[in-house]
Amino acid sequence: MSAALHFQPILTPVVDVDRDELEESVIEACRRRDPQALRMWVSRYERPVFAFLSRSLGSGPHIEDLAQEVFVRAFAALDRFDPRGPARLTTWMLSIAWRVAQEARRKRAVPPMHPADAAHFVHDPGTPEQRHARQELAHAFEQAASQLPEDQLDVFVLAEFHGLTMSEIANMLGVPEATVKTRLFRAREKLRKLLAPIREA
Amino acid sequence: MTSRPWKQWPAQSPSEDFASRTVELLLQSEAKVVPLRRRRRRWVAVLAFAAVLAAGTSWAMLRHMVPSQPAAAVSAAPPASTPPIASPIESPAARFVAPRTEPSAEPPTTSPPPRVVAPASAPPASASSAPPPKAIVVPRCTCEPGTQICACVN
Repeated sequence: MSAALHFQPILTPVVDVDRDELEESVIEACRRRDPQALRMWVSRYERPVFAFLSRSLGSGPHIEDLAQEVFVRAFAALDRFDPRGPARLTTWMLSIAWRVAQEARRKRAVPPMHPADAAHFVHDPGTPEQRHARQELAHAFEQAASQLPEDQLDVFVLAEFHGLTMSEIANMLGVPEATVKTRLFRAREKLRKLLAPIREA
Repeated sequence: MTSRPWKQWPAQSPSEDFASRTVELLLQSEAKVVPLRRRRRRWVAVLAFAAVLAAGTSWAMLRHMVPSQPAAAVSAAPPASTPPIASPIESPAARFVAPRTEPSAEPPTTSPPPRVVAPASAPPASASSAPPPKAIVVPRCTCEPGTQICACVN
């Protein structure tokens, strides 16, 4: 699963909320191991999975391995997913990504990478000034996020960037909705303080 | 910047060939997973069979061994329980003789009882007519009043 040679991450603003879910027929084809359907499935959900993992754990080459792990697990459990059930496929995929991230933290599989090092992986089209500005921004955000407790950061990323509702996050994390609200509030407050210098700049 | 400056937080995007490599991996992993599942099922079946066999053997052994013990217990039980069962059938006199065996230090006192029994039939008369030294009626044993005087009087 090592893909260090192929690693060419791109840092882009991803707010993956409005995209439609895959059709039931595509999910059914994925279960039958149809390569085309699988490719559609991976292409549709790779960006939110990457976005969640990189924001929760910090960008780097390890994110690709973890994202593949998410898809392998999701594929193994795809039979159990009910497209007509209450959970959206995005929420379901993100819940698997959250579990993979939790395990990576527990196993300390996440390399202690400085945010500035993560910015070196940027393959960003644009002028050198724009690229530099984005790298600076990415560095500042990752540094601020690294100061948040993990539980607050996960809730914050899921709510702010993936549009999950409080109840969806509460179900995913197995905590009461009130706890989710509190964590989100604290994370926002803390990030506002930490990012105040950037806003002024 | 807005009131939510983090909205511009860039995320890492997948490389262009991530999807194709992942699909390849999924198809390979699925091919590996199937025989692994079958192997697991086979192991589970073997372990279940072994467990059933072991349980059956142990049950049979227990079943084979247990009847001999109860038989011995039943044969041993009656002697232990006979005395209490037999005692109520015996006459009160026979019951009375039994305590006499307790003071084993007096084996020769077997002959006196007949002599004592005769005056015991009329205690008040014997107490009045008999000379004072021989009229000692104070029981030295646990004889109850109103019963026959036993050998312990002497």
